Amino acid sequence: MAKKRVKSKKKLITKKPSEEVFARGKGLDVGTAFIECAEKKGEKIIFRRQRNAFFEIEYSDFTKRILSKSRVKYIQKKDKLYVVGDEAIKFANMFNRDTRRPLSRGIISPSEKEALPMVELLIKSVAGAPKYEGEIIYHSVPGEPVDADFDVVYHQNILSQFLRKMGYTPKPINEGLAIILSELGEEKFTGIGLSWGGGMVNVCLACLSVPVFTFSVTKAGDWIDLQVAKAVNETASRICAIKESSLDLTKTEQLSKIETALSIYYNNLIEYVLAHIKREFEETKKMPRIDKPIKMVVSGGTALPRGFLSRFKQLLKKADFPFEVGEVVMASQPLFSVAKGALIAAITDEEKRKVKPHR
Amino acid sequence: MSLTATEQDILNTIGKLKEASSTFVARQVMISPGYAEYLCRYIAKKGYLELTTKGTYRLTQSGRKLLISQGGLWDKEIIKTMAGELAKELGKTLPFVERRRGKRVTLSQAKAAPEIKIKEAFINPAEEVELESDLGKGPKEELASSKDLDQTLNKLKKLRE
Repeated sequence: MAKKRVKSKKKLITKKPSEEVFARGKGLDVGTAFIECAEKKGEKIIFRRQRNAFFEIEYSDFTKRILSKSRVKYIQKKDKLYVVGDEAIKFANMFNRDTRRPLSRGIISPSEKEALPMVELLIKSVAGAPKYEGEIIYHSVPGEPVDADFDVVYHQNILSQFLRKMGYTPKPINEGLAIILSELGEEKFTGIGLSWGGGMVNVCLACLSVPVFTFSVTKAGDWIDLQVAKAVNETASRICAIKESSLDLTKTEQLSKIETALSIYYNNLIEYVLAHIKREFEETKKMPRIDKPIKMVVSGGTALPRGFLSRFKQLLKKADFPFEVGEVVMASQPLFSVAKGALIAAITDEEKRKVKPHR
Repeated sequence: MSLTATEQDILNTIGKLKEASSTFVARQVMISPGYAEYLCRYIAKKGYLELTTKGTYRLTQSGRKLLISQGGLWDKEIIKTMAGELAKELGKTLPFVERRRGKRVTLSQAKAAPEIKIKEAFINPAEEVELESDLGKGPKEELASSKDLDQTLNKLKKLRE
């Protein structure tokens, strides 16, 4: 009997509890167009992604049942049903209307009444519950915008509140810096990270993982959609769908009206961002001495169309920068690099926690 | 020339302190130091601030004028006293001046009017609404190898040691 008891004890010790398989810490990217979460399980990284958009339809029991049966994700509030996620875009295109966004230009939309509970639910659906009370989660925050009169303080604090309510220990990380952590390990975390999102383009120059400057511009993917929609008299949602599914920026001949407009506005946006980087370099007083040419990493949904990188390099050559630009590369997982960078920061912090002796 | 809310905050902060560095302003206004420096320079360009030899910023004559015209430099106590005096003055003339829906009312009638109650309790926006939802099992999961992540983690650890 005694032997048996020892055996069963041994079994208990050698068997890993399920939470040991997951690394402690999570990374969350709260973007205007998508919310993404990353966590490490064994030798894999798990990414979960939800489109940060919704489409309003009138409530009826029948509609609700149809949505549930067709596995369309929805949120109900009084007499309204809000279709969320990718289906929201499909619905918007069906009704020839635009989706609504809880976030606008990178921050919680001040004009959208439903924004707060909607963001909270979407975060819950991608991040899930913490593996233990107080698990560290790094969430992305944009840099201060240089071309708009708002700051990110309210946005950052609301996100932290949501996550704290869910049982996490939230910590903010700049979007551009997250990309550098994720992609520039070989360069000792020195270089420029560019996140081309839906509502903003975020830029960070870091030297040995310490940010030298960070900023954002409020022109990005949504701005392109809106300008093209105005130019060709279409809805922004439809332009967004075309942009995401079939845009090819290498194409130079037989372009449709929409493709021509998209190409023009992509050029305009890239030049706008480059001009701001140049200005930031010229205005930053205490610039560290970086011996090597500065490597740039491009990431984000707006940078996904075929030919974006070559278009970017082409315009970069023309820009006459005050520093030597090294290699320009696309992030290994352009849609998830911010979440991955946030995850790296979270795991590092969790490991530090383990090392610290309890007082 | 009109200033944005953040620029106004910066002007107020520097006005109250007489002189401040952009880093200190950044902390007070809760913006990044880089952005604070950029805005200070922008306001200086407009002629409301000037850079001292110590590298700090202070108000120019026109900056002071602008702040005074907008009540930025006024002390709370002064405002309180002035408001009290103004209330006394208005109180004297109230029975003859106040009109409600076109009718002249006396002071005693005015006092009898129902009070307007302002809700003062702060509603935490993050706890305001709970919604019913069906988000299924959550979004689809995508898997990637964590090999490069482990390498990056090691490099970051080495760098920070």
